[in-house]
Amino acid sequence: MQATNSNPPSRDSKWQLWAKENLFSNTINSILTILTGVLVIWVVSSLGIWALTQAKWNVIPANFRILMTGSFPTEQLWRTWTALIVVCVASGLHWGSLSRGAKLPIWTYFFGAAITLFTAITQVGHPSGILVPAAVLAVFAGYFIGQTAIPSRIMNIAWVVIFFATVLLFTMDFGTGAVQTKEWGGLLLTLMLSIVGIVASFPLGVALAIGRTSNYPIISAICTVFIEVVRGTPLVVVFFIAQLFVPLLLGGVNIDPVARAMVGITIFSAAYLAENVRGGLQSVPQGQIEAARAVGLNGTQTLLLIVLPQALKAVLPALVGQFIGLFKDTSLVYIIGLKELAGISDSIRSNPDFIGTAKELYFTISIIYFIFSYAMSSGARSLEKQLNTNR
Amino acid sequence: MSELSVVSEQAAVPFYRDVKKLAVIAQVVFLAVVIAAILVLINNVSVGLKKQDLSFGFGFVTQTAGFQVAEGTAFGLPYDSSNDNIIKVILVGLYNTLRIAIIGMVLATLLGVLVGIARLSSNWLLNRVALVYVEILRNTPLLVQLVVWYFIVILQLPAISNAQPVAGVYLSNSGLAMPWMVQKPDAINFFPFTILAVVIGLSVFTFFSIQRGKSGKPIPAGQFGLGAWVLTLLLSFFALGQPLEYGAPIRGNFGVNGGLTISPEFTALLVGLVVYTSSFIAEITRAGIQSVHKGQWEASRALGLGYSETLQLIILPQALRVMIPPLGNQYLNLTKNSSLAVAIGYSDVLNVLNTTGNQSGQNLQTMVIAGGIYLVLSLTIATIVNTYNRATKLKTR
Repeated sequence: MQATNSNPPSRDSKWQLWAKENLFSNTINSILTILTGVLVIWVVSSLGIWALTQAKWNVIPANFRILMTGSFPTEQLWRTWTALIVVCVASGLHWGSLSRGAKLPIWTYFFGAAITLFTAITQVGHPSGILVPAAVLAVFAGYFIGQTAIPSRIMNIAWVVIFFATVLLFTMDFGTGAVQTKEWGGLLLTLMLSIVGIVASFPLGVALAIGRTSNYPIISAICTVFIEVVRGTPLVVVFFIAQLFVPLLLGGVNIDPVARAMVGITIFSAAYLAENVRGGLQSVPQGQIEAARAVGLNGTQTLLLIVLPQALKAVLPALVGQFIGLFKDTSLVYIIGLKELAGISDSIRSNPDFIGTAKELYFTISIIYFIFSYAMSSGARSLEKQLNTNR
Repeated sequence: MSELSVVSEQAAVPFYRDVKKLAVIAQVVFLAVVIAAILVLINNVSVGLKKQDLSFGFGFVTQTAGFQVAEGTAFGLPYDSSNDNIIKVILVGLYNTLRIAIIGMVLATLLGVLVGIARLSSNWLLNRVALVYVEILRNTPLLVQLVVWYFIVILQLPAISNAQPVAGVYLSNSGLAMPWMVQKPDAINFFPFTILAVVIGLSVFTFFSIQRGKSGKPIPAGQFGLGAWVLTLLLSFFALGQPLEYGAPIRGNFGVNGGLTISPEFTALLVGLVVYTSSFIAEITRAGIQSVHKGQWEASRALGLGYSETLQLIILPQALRVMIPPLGNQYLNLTKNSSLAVAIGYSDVLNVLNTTGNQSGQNLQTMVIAGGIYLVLSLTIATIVNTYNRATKLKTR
């Protein structure tokens, strides 16, 4: 805005100039800056004073295992550790293979160091004190190996293998007894619900979208009714209905509440996903379909090889937004009595030993939710850049 | 699907290669599978219910409800738990849901648009603060936010006996109490006149805006409409002998009397929903404003309009067109999210139905009713938004 060359040389330093331009450019701006500044100082200082002098932070390390895995049997925890380390190595490898030649951002070191220090200091004598730092190390090691050795294409296959291996790992009986899903809790349950929800709702959502946009009126009508009915119902109601109906619908087969919640969240998420994918399908120009048919592809091939890849790429940001929504929505299973992050915090704060620690607990789980959601959205941004062929 | 069959040999094409016949067959098979699946599921449910000695009727809704509801009325009619039936208690819940949804939509829009504008401010501090606000609220679950608002903020406020009033407003752990117009016994007569005032205001506005279009003179139709509305309200208010009177909350031995008191549950749910939804509306506003071409800003400034005039008269009206569909989605979400009231004990329709189900043992039916009610609400909001969208859409001829 300022014509700097015509002005006489300014005596202000760089910072003063910056502040003049961005904070005090006119009277209204100056008033806004001062008001916002006072608000920021008040919020930050009261939060800081609370966090440093009043908060009883020992509730978090004392309940670390419960917050992470709920009532998962202690002697079966090796399952979660194995899964954690494998996933960490794989994430590191994938991340490294995607960002070849790039430097690791500085904040990742701070973040890794923070987690390592926190667990190493507060969890002395517990497996977490050694294994959580090991998991952090695994991410970094994977990153540097992945940068040189692993093509990112292999990792896509690896993830499918890891997914099914993890499902087996958590459900099979290895001679020491199986773990029931009702024993899952805390962050583990939140992640399990999210991952199963995302993996299961994706194909269902795509199928519904294809059905809704198909030229067959009956199929289209059935899919439309299904999508609109589910979208018009709140997730809490879907969960309640799933709790009550799923055992009845399956003819009295007794499946436990966690599996019912998974069914509920899958159906709910699929309906929203279908609408996003439909937007993508409609954005693919008709000429693409005609060209595909002209080179001799049949209907199925056209759909799978030409239309869907372009459609999904077009709506990737919306899909990730949907998945972040699903991740946050897993907290609603608290209302039907499951002990995921929000539910387990509620249980801990009603424990007589930890009365009055609601602030500390909810502050902590909010940070956990934030980290995962924010990671998903920034991951999506880099994936979007990578898939952008219009560069 | 394009037609591939060879025209000259139509008779020779077997049915499994005829695209038209295949389409019909595929749909019939699909329909049959869906119907069969539904029948099997219905059969499973009825067998399962018979095993548990339950029936799937809706006759129970005429039974006496028999439980208290903390707040709300059946759209103005008082609710008496010992005499009134379940239909009436559902109406109380529906009234509470609508109350929170409508007030929430208005407040969330106001707050969201403000934050959205702040996000685009040239003031560095303000737009960073707005960014942090949006990112924190969008990346944490609404349920956790509601629990925090209720258990950590509202319930930790001082008790009403210790609360310090600010400008006559008491904020305490028993909710919010503020001065308000209190109804006298015959206030119900005033209600039709409030509707009449809206009708008169709207007709005056329409009349003058048509006049403005015809004459081309700058008639302030909006102001005239507003004036007519206020005038009708005032006239009928005094003609009916002042059916409402000013009441300030007075602290008694057991809570406050007079004025308007809002329960802590309502306050927490409203604040939670408004703040959460505002973060999404802020992003919609930002995208909407950014979608308006830069030339519009420049042209408007060149004509001598100031920043706020440009924003109000040139930018926001154009941004609004882009904003309406996603805004409608947020209104839908807000209405559906109000069902999280269950977590903090506000008596919305789902909470009331849940209690009904637990009391009468008819959980299945009450949840189906809840689903149906929300479906109708969603479809109504979607219809209103779509109609409005069609009306304000850029008309290309």
